[in-house]
Amino acid sequence: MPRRIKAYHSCLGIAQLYDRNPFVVAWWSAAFPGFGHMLLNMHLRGNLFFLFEILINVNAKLNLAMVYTFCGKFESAKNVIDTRWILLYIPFYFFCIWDSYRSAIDMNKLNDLAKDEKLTVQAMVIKNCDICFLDKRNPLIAAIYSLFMPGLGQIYTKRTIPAIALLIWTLVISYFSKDLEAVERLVSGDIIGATRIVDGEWLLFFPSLIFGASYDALASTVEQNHIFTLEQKQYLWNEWQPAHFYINLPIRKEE
Amino acid sequence: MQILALFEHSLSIEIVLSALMQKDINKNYIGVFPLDQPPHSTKRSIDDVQRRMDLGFILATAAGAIGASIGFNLNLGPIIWGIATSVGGFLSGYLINVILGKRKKKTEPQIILVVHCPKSKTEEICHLLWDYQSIGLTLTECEVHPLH
Repeated sequence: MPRRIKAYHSCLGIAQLYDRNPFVVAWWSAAFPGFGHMLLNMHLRGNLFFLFEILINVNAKLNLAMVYTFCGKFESAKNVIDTRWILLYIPFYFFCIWDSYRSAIDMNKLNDLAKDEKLTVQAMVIKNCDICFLDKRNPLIAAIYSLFMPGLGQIYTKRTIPAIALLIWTLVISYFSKDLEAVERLVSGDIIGATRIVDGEWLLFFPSLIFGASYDALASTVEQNHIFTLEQKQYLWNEWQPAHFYINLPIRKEE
Repeated sequence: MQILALFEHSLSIEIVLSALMQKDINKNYIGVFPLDQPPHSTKRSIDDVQRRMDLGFILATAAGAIGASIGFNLNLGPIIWGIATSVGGFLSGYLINVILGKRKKKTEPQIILVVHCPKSKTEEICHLLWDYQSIGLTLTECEVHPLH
């Protein structure tokens, strides 16, 4: 067993190290605290940050203040913010960005150490609760499913832990933002009614939720395909190299 | 006869190997050689699908959040504006990445499979290999076959 492993496979899916751009990870933490950690497979703290982000943001009415600010209504923005909550947000927010950035850099170093080691990941895991196997999957399909509903792409790539979290939060955010009711009104032509019914505080979670989930699905599918290739290559080199095998040269036909 | 075939990494290469064993081809007559990629392409570059989309997703999120906010004050409302600005953000980010990145065609890593088999089985095995997504195949004949 190598001391530093590159990937681990269980019935909850694959966790793996790969070469990441720390700025991209930091960006996702800034867009939605918790997403950066989810990309790094740090699901426990990622989910803690999710919970805090939504709890504090909703109570501080931060998204609503953003809506007012972008619309130029600075007085309304100032009035709507709840100072009891907003000051909690600041240290939490910047710690989250910094922590994911720092972790990404450290994990890149670990990845450099682990990549020449023997790959110990199992090709297939069968447990009572689930069956997981390494396979090639299409990254674009994963991304598109998560665009429709954050979490579905994660199920497709067998990232069960983020899939559960994302699906639950999609449900909660969609319910409170009333986005689908607004879509229904838009379709029937009632544009003003749609704008009135939708809740800006909750609706503003959607851009980062949808695109973050989609990016996570895309990136992790690409990397899992890479692990599949590495594992298969290792297997073929170990098992399918007969001792006295030789390749015959073709005989040139005499003219 | 000797059959040389080219495959990409997928589950079908493993299915081929087990099918060959079932057709009574001795494991000693099968060689599988996964090829390494050229050294420059193992270093991850902007050509990868994922890297090419990094900026697209980033700009889509930012533009979508701002667009949806401003949309509350505009005619078509936050949902339509949010979606429209997200799409615009994604496309501009994607274009920037594509323009900045040098477009080199990235190829998948491949595997060479070599099978030695008696002449009578050649056709059957070739069919099998084609059926399981071999991307190229050739036959060579040898005067005195060392194994059969």
